[in-house]
Order: sequence, then C-alpha cells, then structure tokens
Amino acid sequence: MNTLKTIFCGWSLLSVLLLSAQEKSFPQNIPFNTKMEVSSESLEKLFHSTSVCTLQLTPSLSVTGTIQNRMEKGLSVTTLLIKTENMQGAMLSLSRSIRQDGSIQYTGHLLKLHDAGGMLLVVKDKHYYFIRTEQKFLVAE
Amino acid sequence: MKIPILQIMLFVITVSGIKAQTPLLNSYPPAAATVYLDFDGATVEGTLWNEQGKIIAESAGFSPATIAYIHKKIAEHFILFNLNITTDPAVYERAPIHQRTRIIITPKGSWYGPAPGVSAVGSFVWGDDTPAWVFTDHLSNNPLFIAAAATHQIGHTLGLQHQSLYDSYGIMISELSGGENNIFSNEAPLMGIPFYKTADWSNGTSSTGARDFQSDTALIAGEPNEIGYRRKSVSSETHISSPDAAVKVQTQLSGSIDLNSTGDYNYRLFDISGRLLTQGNLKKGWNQIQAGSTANAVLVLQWYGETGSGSQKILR
Repeated sequence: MNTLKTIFCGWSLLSVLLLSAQEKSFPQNIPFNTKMEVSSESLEKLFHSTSVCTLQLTPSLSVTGTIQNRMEKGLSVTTLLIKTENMQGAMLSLSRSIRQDGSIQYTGHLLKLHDAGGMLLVVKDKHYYFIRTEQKFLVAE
Repeated sequence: MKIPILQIMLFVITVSGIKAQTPLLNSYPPAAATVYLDFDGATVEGTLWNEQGKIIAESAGFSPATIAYIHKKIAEHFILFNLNITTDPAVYERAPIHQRTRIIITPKGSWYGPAPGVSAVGSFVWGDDTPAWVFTDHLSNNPLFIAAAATHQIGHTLGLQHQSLYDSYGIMISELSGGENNIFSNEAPLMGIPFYKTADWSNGTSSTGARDFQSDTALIAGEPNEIGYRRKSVSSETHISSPDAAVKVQTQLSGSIDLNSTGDYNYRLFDISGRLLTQGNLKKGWNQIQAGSTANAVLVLQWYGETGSGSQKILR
C-alpha cells in the first residue's frame, strides 16, 4: 500500500512539475515544451530548393525531406509541402507570404496526422521559432 | 437511336443543373474576410491533409433548400462579425488571401478517420488555402448538426481551441464542454459539443489549460484575424431608439440595461474588446439585463430571432 502511495505521489509531483514547466506560445497561447529558433535565411533557402532539402533546427536536430508540392498563389504566397525522411514521414508545410507592406512572413507546421505531437512555426519580434506542442492544439476535430 | 441521345442530353442537363442549383449566398457582402462553404466537392492537394496524396471529396449532394438552411444557421453565429459567409467560389477567390478559409462539406472523410470534421487551428490567416472539413456521414446528414459542426470548424480556423471542462483541482474532465457548468440554461459552447443544446460562442476555459480563459468572440474579431465587428448604429446619447430598431435600449447607471423589445429575441452583450458579458432571451416588452459595473464604457448589444436581427453600440 505504501509503495502504491509513493508511486502515486511521485506521479502527481511529476505531473505538476511538467505542467508548470510548460510555456505558452506567442501569440497563439499554445502550450509548448521546446522552442527552436530558426533563421529566416534558413527558411528562405528551402523555397529555392528543387527536390531534397534540409532545415537545421538545432545543432543536433535537422529536418531532411523531399519537396512533394510547390504552390504559388498569385504573386504573394508560395507554399511548400515537404515529406520528411528522418521524422517518420511527417509533413513540413511552409508558406512564404509577401504582405501588403512588402514584408515577408513565413508560416508553417511539421506534423503527421494522428501523432501525439507536432511543431508550429511562430514569429516573435521578427524571430522565428518552431515550438513543439500537442497536435490537438494544431489540428482539431 | 433518338432515345439514347435524348437520355444523354437529359443526363447532361441534370448534371449541369445540379451545379447551377447550388445557391450563391452571401451573409454580409461588404466584408472582405470570407468563409466559403463548399458543398460542390473538391480536389485537394499540397496541404497538410495530403499525407496519402490527392484527396477527391464528393459533393455534399444537398438540395438548394438544405444548403440555404445550413448557410443561414452558420451565418447566424457570425452575425456580429465583419465576415461574409458565402457559398460562391468567386467571392472566395476575390477575398484577401490572408483572410479567408474554405470549409469543404462532404459525405466521407475516410482519408482522415472517424470524425465529424477536422481543421488546422488558425489557418484562416495562413494564406495557403488550407481547407477545413465537415464529414456529413458522421453527422447523420442532419442539417442542424452539419451547421453546428461547420461553425465549430470555422472557429478552429479562426484560432479557437476547444472549450473544456475542468474540476476544481484543474484536472480536465472533458475536452469538449457540453455546457455542463451552466445547469440553469440549455446552452452549450460552439467550441464544445454544440449538437444537443442551443449553441453559442462563450467565455470559458480552453483545452490549453484550466487557467486559460478563452473569449471566443474576442479572438474571432481580434488579431491575427483582424475581422472586427459589423458597423451598426452608434449613438452618443443614453437613450437609443432608432426608428427601425427592434430592440430599444435605455442604459442605467447602476450597471443594468433596460431594453424594450418588439418581439422575442436572443441577445448577447459584449464589451468593446469583444468579451461576452452576458447572453439570454428577451421577451416582448421591457427587459432588464445586468452588464456588470466593471464593463467598459462601450458595449455592443446583438439580438437575433425569427423576425430579424440587429446590433447596437451602447455608450455608457
């Protein structure tokens, strides 16, 4: 009985610590565990790739994949769909938009439908980050 | 020989007639921001939904009357906002690319799995035309359910998370609230389970955490969607009584508002940031509602019912 109590207390404490360690993303207010800064130059480079491409997220984590689709919406939006090879086939979708003021904005996400997690590209103070979060906050039923 | 030709001609007329019969409806044409309800079937590729390749969605197969009914029910939920709900693909194509979304209403979603619908949260502003989905077979082809599910999915594309239910310790009881907190009313949040009660936008705890308060209306209207609210009559006087107003408003200093209604309406009262303060029913005649003493100096009252709808700003 004491062992069960100890396990339960330990689990509760761990849950509380994990929950309190979660941050909230900006500006979407999505809880996340990890954030990885990615330069706009690295993102831009993907849009000039022809087939196989790599995005370095951290010194130890990169996304490698093959461009499956490239779509142009008028002159202002280009969307890439990249099937990853080292992330269990998750799809990296990236859009590059030229806003009315001429600035360039990137949006994107990396996910595999029905997986527990996913990543979202967010921007804060002109810096881009991939945040790792629960997929239910990115794709909802 | 004549009969087969006649049959072919009849078939062509019938098929083209189905396309032509889809009524082209717009809930609020002045708005640039647009939600396109696509009942006509679609081929989708190049989006996050296309893990298994191209998706060919069948048309919903509804009659014009059913489409009009679903459109009306969805549009009622967005009556406050500067947002056009359309069934016209040309209107969608003309809409700003970062202020539009398409909801594909189709019978089957076997490529995704057993769900009444799915969408990418916040995709309204992505600019890449990622659609959202409503699968009518999972909604018993019930137009009321389909309208509720479509509104729910539109909410997701506009950045809304689920309205969730937590216990007093902050442990999630249900990711989708069915309005259990409000035992005295028959209302449920649109971003919860909107099928079995009268559903509406709400303020409540979202699925992101027990301490995360989500005001659906403020999020829809505000950044990054930048939709805003429809502009209606504004008065700087305490008494507002435009001649065509179905509901006449008299503000009170105590925090309550007296309303003189010409009929039975539902109402919602928002502060200027779009936060829902209160909602309920108005009966014909005088009604008093509490706005709260801490409410902003500018309030927005919205009412809607069988005989019409409207909204007014109230300066306090």
